Amino acid sequence: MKEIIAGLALIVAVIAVLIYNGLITLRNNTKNAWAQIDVQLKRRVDLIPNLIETVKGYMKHERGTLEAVTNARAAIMSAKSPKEAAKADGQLAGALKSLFAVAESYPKLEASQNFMQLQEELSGTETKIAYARQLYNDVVLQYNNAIQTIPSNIMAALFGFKDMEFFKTESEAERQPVKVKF
Amino acid sequence: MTLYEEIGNNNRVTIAMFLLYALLYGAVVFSLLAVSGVSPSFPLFTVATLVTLLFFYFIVFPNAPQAILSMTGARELRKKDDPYLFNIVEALAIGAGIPMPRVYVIESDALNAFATGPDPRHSLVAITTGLRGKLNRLELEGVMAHEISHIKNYDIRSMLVAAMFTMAIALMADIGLRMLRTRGGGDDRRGGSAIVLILAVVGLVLAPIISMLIRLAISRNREYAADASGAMLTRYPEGLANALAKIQTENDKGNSQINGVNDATRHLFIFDPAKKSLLGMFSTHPPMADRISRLKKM
Repeated sequence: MKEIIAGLALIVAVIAVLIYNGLITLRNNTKNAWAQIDVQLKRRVDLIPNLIETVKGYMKHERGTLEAVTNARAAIMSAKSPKEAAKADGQLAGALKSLFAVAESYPKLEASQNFMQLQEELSGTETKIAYARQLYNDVVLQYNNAIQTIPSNIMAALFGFKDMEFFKTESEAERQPVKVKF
Repeated sequence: MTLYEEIGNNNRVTIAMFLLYALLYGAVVFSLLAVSGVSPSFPLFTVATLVTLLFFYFIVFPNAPQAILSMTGARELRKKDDPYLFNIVEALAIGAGIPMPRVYVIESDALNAFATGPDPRHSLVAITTGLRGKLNRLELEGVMAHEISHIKNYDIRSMLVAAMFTMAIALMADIGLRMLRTRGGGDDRRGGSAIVLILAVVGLVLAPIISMLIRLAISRNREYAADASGAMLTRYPEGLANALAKIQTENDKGNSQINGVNDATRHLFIFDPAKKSLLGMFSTHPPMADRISRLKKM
């Protein structure tokens, strides 16, 4: 009789360990995915100086637009909290949008190789940021599912694993449909 | 079926197929023993089979990508050669959570693409110049997402394991039938039932064929799975559906030949480059119309 109980206890212990390890792995996946977003955000910030240099010569009378971009970049680099960084990020996205809209009135700029490459780079980076955020949400979903379903929710409660938040867009403006005018 | 249901369903089918393989393997071993008793050379054959399979898995398999690349004359793509395509693959790899695979280009008018590699760290995707020229951004993303899903799901490795099962079963069935011929009559160690013997022989003859059918079924199933996973990755099934439709139209005109493709590599491509019209169960890929309609229903 004692052997059966001991055997069962051993099986339960093994299962508990496997579940715990699984939860740790899932949580670390979410941390990794979050860090990946930052990698792409930094890439976007790093492209800005080159962009400004390329554009400056052509867009001599658009100082306001260029300054908005430079200021947004500075705001990102001096942000002290994730909330500040997210706000500055939105600022940069807006400033870039204006810059590319204005660039359309400068055909020589639009035709230049440098500018086209930078446009592709920035556009590519925006896509990568989007995919990085998508991956983050996917792994957060996996993690949240694990800590909410039986039996792993028992281990989660015992060891203090908490739900994580999905990445959501901060600004109402981003939720509106995009209007394209020609 | 919704996207999520598709993925779950495909994975269950794969597991069922491999269980079938295990059963078939067991049946072959049983038949072999029924036919030959425990022959002194049996352990030797088992060891030889095992060594061959290990050789394939650890030595041939990791180097297979290089061989396929030379056969098809593919050249590696640097970012500056085609930043547009490069960025697409990089973005999808980020979304899939795998290291970015190397990108290769095959000079060919045929519309096709493939992915290969033993694991996500050592993988590559390849696309023909024909396909690269024909597809728009959403369609390219769809095709590349399909290929990246193959890598992420370790499909190449699964197909290798399936091929190894097939090899082992074919080898053992062959040995079994040879033993039967050299056994002669009147050797009745098992005192046995003629029925068991007949069933064993029938089993040994049919086993290689059944195992080939299972392997093809797994290949088709993994294609569906890559379609679903790819659609999940881009959240846009139409992209791949439209690309497949374009590929089908073009290749129906008979323009699908690619150098260096043979039976060993056919199943890697997104569209079977050597397809003759055969019965469905002999195909490595499911019918295009089926794939497109499943995608549109997601």
